[in-house]
Formats: sequence, structure tokens, C-alpha cells
Amino acid sequence: MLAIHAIDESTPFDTPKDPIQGLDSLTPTMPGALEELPPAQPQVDWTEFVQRIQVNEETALEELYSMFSRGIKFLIIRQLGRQDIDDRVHDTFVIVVQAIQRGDLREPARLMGFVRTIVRRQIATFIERNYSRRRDELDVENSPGLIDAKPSPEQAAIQSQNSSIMEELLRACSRRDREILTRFYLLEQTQQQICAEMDLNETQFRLLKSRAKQRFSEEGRRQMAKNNLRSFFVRKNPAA
Amino acid sequence: MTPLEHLEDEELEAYALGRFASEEEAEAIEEHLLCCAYCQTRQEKMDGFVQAMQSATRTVSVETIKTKPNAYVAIAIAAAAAAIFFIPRGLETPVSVELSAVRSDANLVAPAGRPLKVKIDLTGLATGVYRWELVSSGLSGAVNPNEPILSFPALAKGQYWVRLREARTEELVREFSLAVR
Repeated sequence: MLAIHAIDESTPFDTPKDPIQGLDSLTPTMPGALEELPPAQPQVDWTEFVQRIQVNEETALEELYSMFSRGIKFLIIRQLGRQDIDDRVHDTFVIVVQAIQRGDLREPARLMGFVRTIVRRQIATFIERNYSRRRDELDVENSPGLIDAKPSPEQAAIQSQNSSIMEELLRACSRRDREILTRFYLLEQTQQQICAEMDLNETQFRLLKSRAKQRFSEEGRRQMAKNNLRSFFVRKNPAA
Repeated sequence: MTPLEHLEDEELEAYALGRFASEEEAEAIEEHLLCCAYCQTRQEKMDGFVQAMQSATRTVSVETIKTKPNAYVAIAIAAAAAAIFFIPRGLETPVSVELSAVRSDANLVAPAGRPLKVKIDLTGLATGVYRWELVSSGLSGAVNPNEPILSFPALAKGQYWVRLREARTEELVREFSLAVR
């Protein structure tokens, strides 16, 4: 029998508290827990807000910055990495403000979509600029504009640890479970295709993935606790 | 998801994998991420999970190809034992294959069940970092520009495609066909 058949849908998912990357968002939100979550979107009178930006009101610009700077940074980093990130966020923010003040935003309620479009265009511009530079400048060694998309040493260590954890978990899986996960995450097959070819229903497929995430989360916490314990003893023993 | 709700795990996963039902769905997710710090953090973690899963499935599937475990282990062991006595030595020696055709019909044929050393043609490509992948096998790696030779484990009979991508942009620059008979 497949392991996934034994999964009880009512199995409670614990809520991780540690900050290991890749862990605590992976457990589904418990029903009823939504009241404790932060608000999904700021409650703002968009028309009035946009008018305040258009007259260059300082507090409105500050609010706009605090509302979007982290999100702009998030989207740019995902596409371009961390290099020059503060400059890029600043450039993008200036373009957003100028566009609003020029009256390019027709519907104030669509502010988020408007900002997203500008961020997307900016990302495309950064990529295009780097591509042109690479094409035109033969002296690649001295080119200042190449994107450093490499993860930082800390990120690389986290990624490496996460991959090791996942490899262990995959080796412990049944071949069938492993095949399902490989098809979905690596071979980019759709859920429908996998379910049809491997005789699964939607619930089994969803639960298999949830289970993998839960195991990953649990194992990550265990590893982190082990690492913390190890570093505690290393610190306690100066001779080590 | 409505504007007042947080993203579902499935939406975070779709965004991490870049697989959306529609362009509108992608826009809605991205607009939400733009102003929701809570979901940004969850998305970063989902990205970490997906990245780890992709890396691990790649590694483990390569191991599976190399070890080829199946239900006929006993037969395989017997066959291996027989091979020691009856099959001429040298089958483990990789066979050298040179791939120079770019998406052409001129199929290069390599023997099945033998490790392969596949030399790929980089002529005409700009200096840069390239990655190769054997399509649908999970095998991939970096290309050494000074010695563009790829090591493949023994492959089963079939038609294979070796793709060469620019490492940073993931742009497909070459595709070679390889028939294994």
C-alpha cells in the first residue's frame, strides 16, 4: 500500500517557530488561526492617498515607501539578485512617484497593479541593460554591470543544508512517492498528468506533497536543534 | 484569493515554480506579494523548499539511473555474475561520442548500457558559462569550456536530447540529438 493512503486528512500540522528557511510557511494554516494573522492588505482610501502623493505630500511619500519598498525589493531580488539592490529599489520608487504625479495612474484603486507593472518594466530594463553591456563590451573582466546572482555564503549554506535534508527524506520515501515528487518538481509535469498516469486522485496527490513538506519541516527543525546544541558545546569548551 | 486574504500554499508553490493557470493569476499573486510582508516571508520559505526539492530530486534521480534498482535484482545479479565469466572485459570503459550536430537529423548513435564520454561542440559560442542537461533524465551539470566532455552513466535504448544553456540566463543555445541503440 502506498504511504499516502495512510495519511489522515485530519492530521494536525504543527506550527514551526524557528526561522529556518523553507520551513514554517510550509504547513497549512490551521482553521481559525486567520484572526492572528497580520492584515493581508493595508486599509487605505486609495483616491485620497494618490491625491496626497500627487501634491507631493511628504507623509504620503513616506507611507508609499513603507508600503511598497520591501515588496519592490522582494520582487527585484527574486529576479536579479542582491547586487545594487538599494539603488534599484530607490530608482524604481522614484519612477513610481513620478508616474503617479504625472497622472499616469487613472484608477487609484489599481495602485498595486500599477506599481507591479513599473517594477516588472524596471526589471526588464535592468536585464536589457546588462545584456546590451555584455554584448557591446568585449572587456568583460572590467565590466561593472554584470549581475552577481550567486547566493551569499550564508544563503549557499542554507540551500546546501536544505538540499541534504531533502535528499535524505527522498531516499527514505517509497519509489512511487519519489517518482511523484520528481515528476512534479523536477520534470514539471502537471498534477493532472501525474494523477492520470500514476492512478492517483487529487487528494492523494495533495497529501503526498503536504506530507513531504511536513517531513522536511520537522527534519529541518531537528537539524537546527542539533546544530544549536553542537555550537553551544563548542562555545562552552574553549579548548575545542 | 481575494485582496483581503493571504495567499494559499498552492499559490506560493505555483509562484515558486513559475506555473500559473493564467497571466491574471500571476499578476494577482505578485500584486499581493508587493504589499504583504507576511506572504513575502512565506514565499521566500516556499522558494527554499522548492529549490531544495528540485536539487534533491535531481541528485536522487541521477543515483537511481546509476544504480537502476528494479524488481529484477536477482536477474541482474545473475547477469552480472555471468558477465564476469562470459562477457569480454572493457564494457565499463566509457565510449567516446562526439556531438557536433545542432538540432539536425543526423543522429549520432551510441551504444546502450555503456557509460559514455560525450564531447560537445562549442564552436561559435561566445565565451561564457554554460550548463548542459540530458532532457527528461534529471542529469545536468556545468560545461568545462576547456574540455567540453560530459560523462553519462549507461543509458537505456532510446532517443535523447542534450541541451546546452547559458548558465545565467538559462537561454537555450544548442540542442544535440543522441540515439542510444
